[in-house]
Amino acid sequence: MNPPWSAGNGSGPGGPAEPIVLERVSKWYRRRDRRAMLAMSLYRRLTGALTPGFWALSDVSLAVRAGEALGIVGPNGAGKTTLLKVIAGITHPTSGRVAVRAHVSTHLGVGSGFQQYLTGRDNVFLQGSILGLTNRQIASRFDAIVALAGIETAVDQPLWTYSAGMTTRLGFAVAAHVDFDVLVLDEALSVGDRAFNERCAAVLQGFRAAQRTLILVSHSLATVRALCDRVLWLDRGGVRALGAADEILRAYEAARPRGDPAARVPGS
Amino acid sequence: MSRASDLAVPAAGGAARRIGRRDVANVRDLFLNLVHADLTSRFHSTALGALWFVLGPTLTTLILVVVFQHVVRLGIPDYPLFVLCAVLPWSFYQAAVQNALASLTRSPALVKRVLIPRAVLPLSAVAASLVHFALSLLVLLGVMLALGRTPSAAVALFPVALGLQLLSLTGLALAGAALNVFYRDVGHVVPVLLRLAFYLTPSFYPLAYVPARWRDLYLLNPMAGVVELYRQALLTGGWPSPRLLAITFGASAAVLAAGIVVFRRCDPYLEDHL
Repeated sequence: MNPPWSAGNGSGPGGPAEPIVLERVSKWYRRRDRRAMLAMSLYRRLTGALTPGFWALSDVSLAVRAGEALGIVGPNGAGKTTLLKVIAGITHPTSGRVAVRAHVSTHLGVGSGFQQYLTGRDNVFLQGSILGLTNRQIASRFDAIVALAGIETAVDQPLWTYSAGMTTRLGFAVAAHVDFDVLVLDEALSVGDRAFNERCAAVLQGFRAAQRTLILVSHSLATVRALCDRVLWLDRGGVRALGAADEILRAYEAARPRGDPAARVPGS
Repeated sequence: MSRASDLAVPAAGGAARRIGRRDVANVRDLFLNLVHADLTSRFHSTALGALWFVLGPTLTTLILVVVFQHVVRLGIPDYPLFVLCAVLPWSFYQAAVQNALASLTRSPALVKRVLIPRAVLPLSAVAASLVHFALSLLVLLGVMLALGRTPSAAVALFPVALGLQLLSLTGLALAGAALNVFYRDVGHVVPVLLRLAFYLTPSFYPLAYVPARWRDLYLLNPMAGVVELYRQALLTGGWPSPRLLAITFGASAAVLAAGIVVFRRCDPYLEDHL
């Protein structure tokens, strides 16, 4: 089977004008019981009773344009991460349609596969292959990854000796060296020191300059304002507003109650 | 709009188109890197390290030898080797299944934060245990050489036994890993069932002890024929009946097929439940 981003199917510039289209997408998550009770679920299955749960997304329609940077804002629990998961293919919508005609990054956050007892080097290879690279590709990018993360002296130490900042930098550095047409980012930028943040910004600027598409979830409105052309405002799983970044962010700030903790603590 | 039930067909926009996101070389390297990670990090804080994979089967064998050679006195020749031929494959089986059962639940980030072909998690867990099995076979080889034994031509059965074992093992690993996400009871029940199944294979007694009219039923346990094959390959020589091979292959392939079906049906809902 041809990968969806192969020639003729759209990849980068010259690809489809709308590489990601969502039509009336909804996602139901069941309430998480402490215990999964077999008898209870069998009873529900037999009687057709509804499992308790909630709509994490309801009726979201969205067309992401090629080359744009789309910001997603909203309070905690608005469905931002669920929307990214649906776009990345990590979870399936309960109803609605998702059409992806581009090579979309398949990860939220960074360092998802990191293992504490492996060295930094082994973790780069493991995480690189998790994100879709072959070992040969990783080997050829290895020095650049280590340099971006700034962990040259610690690369053969086990990961548990790393500081939290080093670990996150390494995760971002691996992700930055995987080729995507559409990069999905979930609060990745609020981590490193200033020098690292500048390098991150440079990576993202280069990504944008190459006319790649960026979808960014952030509580940092300054980050969204600096990077994004359009903003999607999610509220309780639904689309509250979608439009030009300035306009939507102004409305979002105006509507937000003063002292909303979600607005003050990035990454919460 | 309808809610998703546990094991129903996914909504439109399902998994199929996304499988092609990865090429074979990437999936192979992902698999190998996961095996490497498993092998490297398993024994990180143990004094004896990988030796545990030899010590466990050795202790089991010692107990069985004491009980059935010196207490019950079955009078089977070469009894320690006779028992080892069953205990080593079974240790592998149990370790691999145990490892695979937890493969999804211990790495929630690999299910919830990133899209990978999730079957590589249980499969790499099985492969890591296979490496340990190979090490324990080296010990068996050492014991046999120390006793002055050389394998007969029947050693050609060894790859057949291993292949058949991997069929049912992979099936159980896939199904167990996926179902354990929905009901963690699976992770507790399966090891107990495997311990029971050990007695329903020619483990510390020969296959000939099983009454002829029960033998076909007995062989429906995929490991029963496998243990007999290992023993013929490594110790007793002799060749299996076509009937034994046919039943064992059928039962093993059925377990694998069931495992694949279960995993594929669970896969779209793993993220919701982990």
